Amino acid sequence: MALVGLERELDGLSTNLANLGTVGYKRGRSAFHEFSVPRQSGDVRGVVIRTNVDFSQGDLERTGRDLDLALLGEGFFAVEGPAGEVYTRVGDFHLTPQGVLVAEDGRPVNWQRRPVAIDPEGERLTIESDGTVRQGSTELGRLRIVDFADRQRLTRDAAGYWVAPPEARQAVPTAAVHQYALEGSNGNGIEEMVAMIGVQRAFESVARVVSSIEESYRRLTRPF
Amino acid sequence: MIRAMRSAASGMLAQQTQVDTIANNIANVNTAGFKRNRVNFRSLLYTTLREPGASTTATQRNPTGLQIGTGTEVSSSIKLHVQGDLEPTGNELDLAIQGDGFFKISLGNGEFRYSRDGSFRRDANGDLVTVDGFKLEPGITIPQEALNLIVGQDGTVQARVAGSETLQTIGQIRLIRFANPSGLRAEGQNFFSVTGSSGQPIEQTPGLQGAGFLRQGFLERSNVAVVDELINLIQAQRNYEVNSRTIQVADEMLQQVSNLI
Repeated sequence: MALVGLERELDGLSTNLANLGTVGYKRGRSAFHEFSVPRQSGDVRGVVIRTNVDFSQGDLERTGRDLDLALLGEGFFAVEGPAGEVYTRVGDFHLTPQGVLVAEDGRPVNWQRRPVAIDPEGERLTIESDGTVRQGSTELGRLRIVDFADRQRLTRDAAGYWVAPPEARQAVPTAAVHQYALEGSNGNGIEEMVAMIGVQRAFESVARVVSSIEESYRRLTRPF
Repeated sequence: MIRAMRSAASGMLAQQTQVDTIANNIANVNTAGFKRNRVNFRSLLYTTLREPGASTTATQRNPTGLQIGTGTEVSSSIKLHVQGDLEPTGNELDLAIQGDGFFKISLGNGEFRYSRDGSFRRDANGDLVTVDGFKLEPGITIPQEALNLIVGQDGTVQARVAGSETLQTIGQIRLIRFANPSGLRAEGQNFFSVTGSSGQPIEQTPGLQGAGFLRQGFLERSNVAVVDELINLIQAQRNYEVNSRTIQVADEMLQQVSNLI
């Protein structure tokens, strides 16, 4: 049981390491929980692994592109997916020829309010730290930024967006929008490597325990 | 363990693409009007082994679940249309765009390309052409008797003609803008072409409605900053290294499993 748990922990660590270069990636953490099941012959003990997501801030990297937006603080950009609103910290947006602000895969970005449409032929957009979007001197509206009281309930969909369960409670976002920058992964190569060494050694110890148990059985059944 | 290996392999592949992109950027550090590339990564499909928020008893729910990712993938590569430095060349046929916009270049077969490279030449007919001989559109024809050429910030082209006091206006250079310049297709030779996602070309007078100004006697350098690229290269290399280490660790763990038997 511990071997399976450790294997899953390694899977999680390897995903964190593979995504060191992924914009807006939030690293996964795993934690072991002990449990015991009462049986007639005595309690059976074991460990179970759970994962949660470390939503801490990633480093902001300046890119200079006008539609690269990074969030500093807590909150998510809201994007319209095929099955309702989904959330992301990845702010590399694009403007379609029709003047729609879209995420990298073409899903439209949601606005808190947008009284004026974007003129695709007009000047470049400027975005202020509260998400207010301007084109030249015209204020177009404000991007929708949301946060959740219990972010651990969020799940990731196939495209890497966060999906909120219907009962999720919203919280007041504290994030400030930074234009011309992107948020890097919050994974840290050193930390994951150290954890990986830990996993490897723990796996080794458990494997040794298994082989010594096997050895004692072998001694029991050995013919005299 | 196999999942860990696959994740690490996807990370190594992604970093390899990153190194390829950096190499191309660095190779073009002296290409006039070159715009650096960036590759974007996204995390791959998540396997949900235990649903967060699932009920554990009638009144309790899992506060956290068990979702394990399967690595990373290259999701897109884009050109960063950020202004490059302007370098004075002293050549009157060198034009740089300060701000948004592209020169429209005619390929002569009814097709057009768009370029930020403003190192123009004069061909035998006096037409303003690119290094490869493609004409600027709308065409500017320099009269044979012209002594020198003056291009205004707003794109008006005037020539000083021998024996005349006044300048002769011979044309107007227009700039092309796109709603989404990142959606343009890079064609090589510093050319870009229109795609469905770039939007239709919008012809504008330089300096007006968001289009950039023209600067005569300057060339726009590549917007690649070697220091940034080298830092990215070091990062890519280290990321590659830690991912390859994951494979090694997974391999050693598998070996221990096989030793149990």
